Amino acid sequence: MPCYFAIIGARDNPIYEAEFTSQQLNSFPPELKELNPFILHASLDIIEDLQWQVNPQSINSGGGSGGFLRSRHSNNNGNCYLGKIDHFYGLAITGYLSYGNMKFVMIHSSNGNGSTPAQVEDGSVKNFYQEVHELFVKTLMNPFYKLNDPITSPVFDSKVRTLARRYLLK
Amino acid sequence: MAIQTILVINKSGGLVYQRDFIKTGAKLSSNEYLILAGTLQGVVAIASQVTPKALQISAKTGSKTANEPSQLIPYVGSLGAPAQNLSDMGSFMGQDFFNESFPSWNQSGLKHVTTDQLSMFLYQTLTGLKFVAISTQSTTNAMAVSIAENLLRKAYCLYADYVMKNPFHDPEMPIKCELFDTHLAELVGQL
Amino acid sequence: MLTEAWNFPKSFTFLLLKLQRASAKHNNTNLVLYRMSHKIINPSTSVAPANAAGSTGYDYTIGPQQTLPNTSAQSVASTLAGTRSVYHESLHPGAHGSHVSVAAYAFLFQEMVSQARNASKTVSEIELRLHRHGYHIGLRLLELLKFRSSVTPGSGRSFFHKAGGPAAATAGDAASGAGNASGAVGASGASSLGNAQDESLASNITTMKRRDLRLLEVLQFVHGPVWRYLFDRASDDLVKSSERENEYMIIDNTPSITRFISSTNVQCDFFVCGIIEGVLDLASFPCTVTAHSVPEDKFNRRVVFVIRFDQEVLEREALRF
Repeated sequence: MPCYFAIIGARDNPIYEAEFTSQQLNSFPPELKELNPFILHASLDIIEDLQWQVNPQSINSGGGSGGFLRSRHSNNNGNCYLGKIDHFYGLAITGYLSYGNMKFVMIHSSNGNGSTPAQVEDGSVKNFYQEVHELFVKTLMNPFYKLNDPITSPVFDSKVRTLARRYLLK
Repeated sequence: MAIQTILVINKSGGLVYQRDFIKTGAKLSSNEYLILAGTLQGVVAIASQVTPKALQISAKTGSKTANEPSQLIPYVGSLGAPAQNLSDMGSFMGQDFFNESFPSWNQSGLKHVTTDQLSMFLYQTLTGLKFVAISTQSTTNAMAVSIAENLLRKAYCLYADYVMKNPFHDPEMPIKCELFDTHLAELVGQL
Repeated sequence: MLTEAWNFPKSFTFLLLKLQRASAKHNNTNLVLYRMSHKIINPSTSVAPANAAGSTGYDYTIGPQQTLPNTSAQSVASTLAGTRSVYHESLHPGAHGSHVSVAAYAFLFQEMVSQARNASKTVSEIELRLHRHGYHIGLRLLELLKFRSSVTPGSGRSFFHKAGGPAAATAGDAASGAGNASGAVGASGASSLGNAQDESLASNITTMKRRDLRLLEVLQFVHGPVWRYLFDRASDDLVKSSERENEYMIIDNTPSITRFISSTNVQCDFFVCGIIEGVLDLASFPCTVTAHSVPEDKFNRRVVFVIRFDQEVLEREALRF
């Protein structure tokens, strides 16, 4: 399933973004493509709310369908991976916060033509986020990289895409 | 052996550090110390000219082949090692600043001057810096010389830590470092 | 579908807010404003570059275009063969040796201070410069130390075998030890890129360390792990001020970095202040940190780092917990 991934900095500025698609699977329809950044940014306020929740993943999980359809897998007590935080016409949005409160956000689209809501596989998505987090920490280790600047390294890009192929596009 | 004064002379013969450890007794004025430093520098230069060439060469080849015990100054005890606070050895690890014999870097051969009243010991570094200790006893004992050599080498270690690593010290200028003062006094006091 | 999207009021109001906030602060890297600002930041997409060739700016029939070359891992590896980027280094604590010579560090710090001294006119300016140097270290330390502490000890062992020939095999072992097959595939793929150090630590992490939400948690983090990483021991004390609500103090009896510096009117410990402030700032606990020399009978170089949190931190604390 196609995904749209972005890292949002502390000043709500995007510092990296990528679209993950593959030949055999549908990509985002061209007319929706340009909406992705908007949809993604709309979920930032939810992330900022969850940022200061003690157990962001377990909130509303017992409350049935009310509120946002968040994932119910709160089997661990980590608070970096926020799980599914928002949905938008069949698109699922997941979020992750690094220790420096960099926001990692991703839009998951469904496999089909948009009739079925997108399913999020928590385990592999979480692994993907953790791996990207590691790459981000490595980026920070570069003394010439300034926090909140866009990441322009082609190595970073290719590594993120490799990770996406491994964890997301299955 | 009581140390009366320790001097540090830079490579151009200027006195950069002078400190008395015995308060009583005759004192030289600061100007006289400056003259003393200049004179010592001159004497050292003359001594290196006077030293027979053959000796210099044999000293050089001797240091190259190394390990000849006569060329090395033996390490003397845990001389002046801080007894109680072992942690504060600056950037040096272990019980003492060093604990093996070391070769002398003295190029001129002038190691000590003995008079009836006092003796003076000289330690030269590779960079031309000279540490001078003036003792109140007159001694020609080889043991005393190597003790003084050890002491001054430790003073050089302190210099490396508390003077060279102080960003507020300008090289070749008079040393005004509180920490160097206190540590040197500690070192001499434990003698 | 397009019109439906625009009728969605929640996202729209959020968006406007975001637009205002983002544009006010950081105009040139704002993707949402690409129609308005002059500098265009396009996302990296999978559209073949040929389709987009020749056009500059935004084309609605194509959608966003890529700025980063969308090249496969193999071609990047081949073009960058021989060069080692920061992404090829391991984050493992053992990767670069855990200790630095005190002397080397002291000389570096000495040069930093003299450089700051030459560039500034007043004492407070020197301190400010040192503070700024430390700040950027603090930012990086927070992410690095937290990430490292998430890794369960004992994993990443293949690093220690990397000198041997079958590096790929050990890398594969470590990944499959974490119990997922896809990790093993990835690890062997990574090592085929050329080196065993490529292995990622993240695949060994089962649970990430929690982000610090409470004030005391983050102060404990500075007091413990940060101090241990920098100075090989925890700081001597962590005290809350009795006078002011927003004031905390970290006390160091024997500050390591200024141990060779005789006391002057310049407080060189402002470098450490910067590190503390960087860590706390990035963790969203904005504050100002100052260093004060407060000698005590046994420790004449004792330094107290006073941390004053901004009012918003206390308000949030009261609101949330």
